[in-house]
Parts: sequence; structure tokens; C-alpha cells
Amino acid sequence: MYQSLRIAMRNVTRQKKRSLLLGGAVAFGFFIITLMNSLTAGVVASAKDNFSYAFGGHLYLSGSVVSERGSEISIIEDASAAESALALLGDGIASVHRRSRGAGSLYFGTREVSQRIEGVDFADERDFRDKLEVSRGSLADLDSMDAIILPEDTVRKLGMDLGETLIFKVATVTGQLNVGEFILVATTASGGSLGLTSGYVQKVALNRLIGLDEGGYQTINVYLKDIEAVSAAATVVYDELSLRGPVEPRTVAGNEMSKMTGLRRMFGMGGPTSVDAAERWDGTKFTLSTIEDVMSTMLSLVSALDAISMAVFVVLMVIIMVGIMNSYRMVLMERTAEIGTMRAIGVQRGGIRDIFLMEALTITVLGAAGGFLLSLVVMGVSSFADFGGASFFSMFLDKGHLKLVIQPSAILRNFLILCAMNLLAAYFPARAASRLNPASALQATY
Amino acid sequence: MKRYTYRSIYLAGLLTLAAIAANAQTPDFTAMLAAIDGQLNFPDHDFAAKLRMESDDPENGKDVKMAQTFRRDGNDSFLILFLEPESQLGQGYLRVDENLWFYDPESRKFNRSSMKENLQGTDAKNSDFGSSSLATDYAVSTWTEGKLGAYDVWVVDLKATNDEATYAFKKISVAKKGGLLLKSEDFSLSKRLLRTAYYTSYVQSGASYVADVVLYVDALVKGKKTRITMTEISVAPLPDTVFTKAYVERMNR
Repeated sequence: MYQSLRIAMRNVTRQKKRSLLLGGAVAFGFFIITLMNSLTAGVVASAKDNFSYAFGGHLYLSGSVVSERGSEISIIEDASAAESALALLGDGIASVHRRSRGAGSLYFGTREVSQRIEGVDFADERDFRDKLEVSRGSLADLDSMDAIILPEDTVRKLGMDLGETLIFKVATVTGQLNVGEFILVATTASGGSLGLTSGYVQKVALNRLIGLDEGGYQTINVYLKDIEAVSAAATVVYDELSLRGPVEPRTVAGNEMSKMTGLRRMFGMGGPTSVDAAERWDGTKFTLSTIEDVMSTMLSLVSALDAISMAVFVVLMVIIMVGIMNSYRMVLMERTAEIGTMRAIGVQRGGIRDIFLMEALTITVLGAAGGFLLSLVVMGVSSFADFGGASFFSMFLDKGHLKLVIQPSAILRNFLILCAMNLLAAYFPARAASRLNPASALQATY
Repeated sequence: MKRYTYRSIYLAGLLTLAAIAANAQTPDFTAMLAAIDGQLNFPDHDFAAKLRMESDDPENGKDVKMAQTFRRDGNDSFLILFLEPESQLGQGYLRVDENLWFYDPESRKFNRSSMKENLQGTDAKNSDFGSSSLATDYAVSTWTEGKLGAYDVWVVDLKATNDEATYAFKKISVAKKGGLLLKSEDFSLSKRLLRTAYYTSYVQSGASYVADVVLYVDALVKGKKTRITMTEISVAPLPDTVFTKAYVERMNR
């Protein structure tokens, strides 16, 4: 085996140009797939981080009660069921925040823009100031009751500037219209067409507008220590909530209505709606949403992108396979006499086959290594590029920089696929070489 | 001293008589609200009309929408089906069983909506197209006499009796003669004027009145207003099927 490997290595170096071309093709394919996988993983990781900060957590528990008049009012009156459910997550929780929110209209001059505003207890959410990506202004005056932070897109549509005063019209939790005045202190990067970026004010200020007590809240937002544990944690919390009181079903077979209901509540969209008499409930009914629900559309796009890059990779590999197969057929003809000599001095059929396979494997391993190193270099260089903080893409960036996450499992998978395909491509010429008649091969003149 | 005492008693008496006389002329405002509801609602028969909604927005310019409305106040139902513009053809709001549904013909789905939301970007609320409930939702807090154009009116301040009324405060102007609602200023919970509705024309239909021209003026955006005109008004009975989801879907086939 060692002898076969030595001969294979010698053959690789003997035909430098051919080996370089084959290895280059392998390297290019591996470079593309590694880069795409890292890019999509990085985009998802950045988006999860950004969306988590924008929505204040990974798990969102919103509550609603039924009023005397039969309307659904968005408020958490009794949080005991939620607290019991969250207690089951134990050390898995990094922090818990209680927020209020309102979807209303901002007015400045003759301009009106719809906007979702989150009420944040800035003193409680200590890392809010550090994590929020401010594109203009300062968070120094955030403790002021009339301070507001808005997405850059919204500010541009309103045509206003920092320090100017706007009007926010929003419905109270019971549906009465109310207005308040706020001063723009800072702007954040926008979520663009996703339209998910929030504005922020002091929770107490928003509570006064929407008719909640100063300490009242509508959602419990939970940061987990491990964002990958979101699905498992959501299952634990949902099961416990189901045991302790009314809870909105997470999924309804055949449609996504429940998820949409959860997101509608979480985003504070629409006013109070009436609840059919048969569907009314007592106490606080909880709706559980997760960062994955929020990002489901984006995750589908990323999955599609992953699938496309995998398909491109496979097509590239098939082209390389054809190249390898043809190359080794040529090699077979070039080395017929050499094969005859090796067979004459006692090399067995398996040995001849192994030399061909080892040669293909060597080119594949070296090519893959080259492609991987090239992807590392490109990733390193591109991570220095600053794409700015106030564009649609900023939600997918890590503070304006492209985040590329190396995924060892994906790299290993792609490497194994590459090896298998190239060995398969080399197998048939290798088998043909091993089956050459030594006497005839020795007589070959080409 | 005695002369002053008699004069004081005399003045007090006069004032008391004046107050009694004034009180005798002051209507029962609670009954007035009920009367307005009675005039504007159709408890015993159906109602249908064509709506023309002309919106004027300083940022977005003019916009005209046409719709057909059907009302049955007996069970608090209504249906608004959009006819124009082409992009909104077939969209509809169906109020039935205390639920308001918005139908989108593109997705062919009914989604819940709220009576408190504005109707398709106009300055009118969805609730403006249903039955009037001033008497149940509001209580009179103060009143005064005034003039609105050529009309002598009662100017009545109202406060919502429950926290689910869209506007926490209203100031309405009611014609002294005929008792028709002529103007309504709608205020937020923080007592800021949000919009003013002018009921500039009425047509009588049986015992009820229909405000066939209403102008809604947005108080937060200067120059933003919506004028709603009703034509082809009918109080003929409507089939029960009109107030169903199936009817809305059928009209879109």
C-alpha cells in the first residue's frame, strides 16, 4: 500500500500541468461550496443575533385576556404560568425582559409613517445600549421619558432630523386612540423590506400611552445562553404552559394561522378583536413565539440558497468527474507499457488499481486543501470590509461586517462527497488498467 | 341693611326663576344621544348604498375609491365591497357576529380586522360604517349653545363610558332644530383632537336619516381629509346571504 502511495505521489508530480489543472478544478469547487456554506451560516448567525436584539430575546411570551365586552386585550395580567414554565429552563436562560409594544403611526409635519414601537426598560436591559447598532445620534439621553429611537428608513420617510419632535398615535390595549410626543435621539439600521425593525422608547412612557400601569407589560422576552436550543426550550415552555392554563396552539395542522396569530400579538399589530363567545377564556392566555418563527421566511431563503449552492457544487463535481475519468483514460494509454512492466515484475492487479485510485485521491485531497485555504483567505479579507450600518443588508451583517462561520460538519460532508465522486470517476480507468494483459501491455508502443 | 336683604332675596329669586326657565329649555342630552342613534340607525330594515371616497393627502395626492355598502342594523352586520380602483376590486369588509373580516381576493382569505382601524387608508374608521352607538358608548359631561354656520346648535362634550370606545372624548354639534348630528370632533385619551367629522348633508329614508355627505378632516396631518358621498341609497330588504363569507367569495368569481 505504501509502495502504491509512493508511486501515486510520483505520478502526481511527474505530470505537473495535468495534476495542477485537475487539482485546481477540485480546489475551485471546494472553495465555492465552503464559501457559500460559511456565508449562509454567517448570515443566519448574524441575522439571529440582530433580530434577537431587535426583538429583545429568543423566546417571546405574549399574553392576552378577554374583556367584559368580549374583546381580546393584549396584556399579561398573571404571569405565574409563564414563570413556572421558564423556571424549567433553569440555567439555560441568560436573561428575561418584560416589554410592552404598540403598532401605530408617527406624524411629522404632513408625513405619516406606520411604525412598531417597543417599550424597553433601559435600566433593566443593561446590554441594550451596547448591542443596538446606532447609525446616528446618541443613547446618552435614553432615560428621558420623551426620547425615541427610530429606524433610519422611518426617519428618512418622515423627513426629520435628530432633536426634532414627532407625534406617535397608538391605540391603548383596549383600543382607544391616544397620542404622545417624542424627541428623536438616535437612529438605527433599518430592516428594509422585512419591515421588522422597531423603534424604542422608555417602557413607562409607552405604558402611559397604551393604558398600562407603569410596571405593566405585554411580552416576556427570554434570551437563552445557547440560541441553538430555542426549539427544545420552546417545547418545554409550551408543554408547561399548556398544563397550567390557556395557551394558543403553536401550530395548526395544514396552516400557519397560529404562528401568524403569535407574530401578530408579538408585533402588536391591529386593534383588539372580538372573541367568539364559545372561544373565550379566563385569565391570561399565552402565545409562544420564537426567533425561528420570526425568521422563518429568511431561514427558508437561506435553506434554498444552501440547496442551490449544493446543486452547483454537485454539477461542478460531475464536470470534474468527467475530467478525471477522461484524464485517467489518457493516463492509461500513456502508461500501458509501464503497467505491463510493473505487472511483469510482480505487481498484482489490485496494486495497479490502487496506484490509480491513490493518485486521484491525492489530487482530490490536495485540491480540497487548496480550496479550503483559499476560502479562508477570502473569508479573512472579506470580513474586514465594512458594508455600513444603515442598509437593508445590515440585518444580516455583524456590525457592518460580513460574518463567515466555518462549519466543520459541512466541510467534512463536502470533502467526503468530493472524495467519493472522484474515486468513482477514477475507478473505471483504474479497473481497466488493472485488467490489462501484461504481455500485451509490454508490447505497447504508445 | 333691611333694604339690602330684601334686594338680595329678590335677586336670588330672579336668578332661580331664570335658571328654572333655562333648564326648561335645555333638552335631555342623554335622550338626545339616543335620538341621534335612532335617526342614524335602521333597526327595522336593511340599507344599501354606493360609496364614493375621495381622499386628499398632502403627501400622496388625491385618491378615489368606490364601494358598495350593505347594512343590517338589526343584527349589527354590514358589508363593504370595493369596486374601484381596479387594484382593490373585490376586497371587502364583512361585519358579522361581532367579528369584522377583511377579504383579500388575491389570497382568497378572510383575515380578522378591527372596527377601530381606518378604512383602506381613508380618514374614516370601519366603525363609521356600522350602526351608531353614541348613547351606549358616551355620557354627556358638559354642554353649551353655539352656532355652526347658519345653524343654531347644542355643543355637547362627551366622555366614553367604557375604555373600548375608539375615541375617549368627543365634542358633538347637534342642530337645535331637528336634532341632527352636524359635526363631531374626536379626541384622544390625552385630549388631543384627532379628527373632525362634518355631516354636511342628510337624506331622509323612512323614519331614519342618512348622512349622505360626510367630510372627515385629519387633525394631525394638515390638509389630509376624506369626503364620503353616498348615492343609490336603498332601504329595500336584502337577502340574508349578503352578510356571509360565501357571498363575498361568490362576488369575486
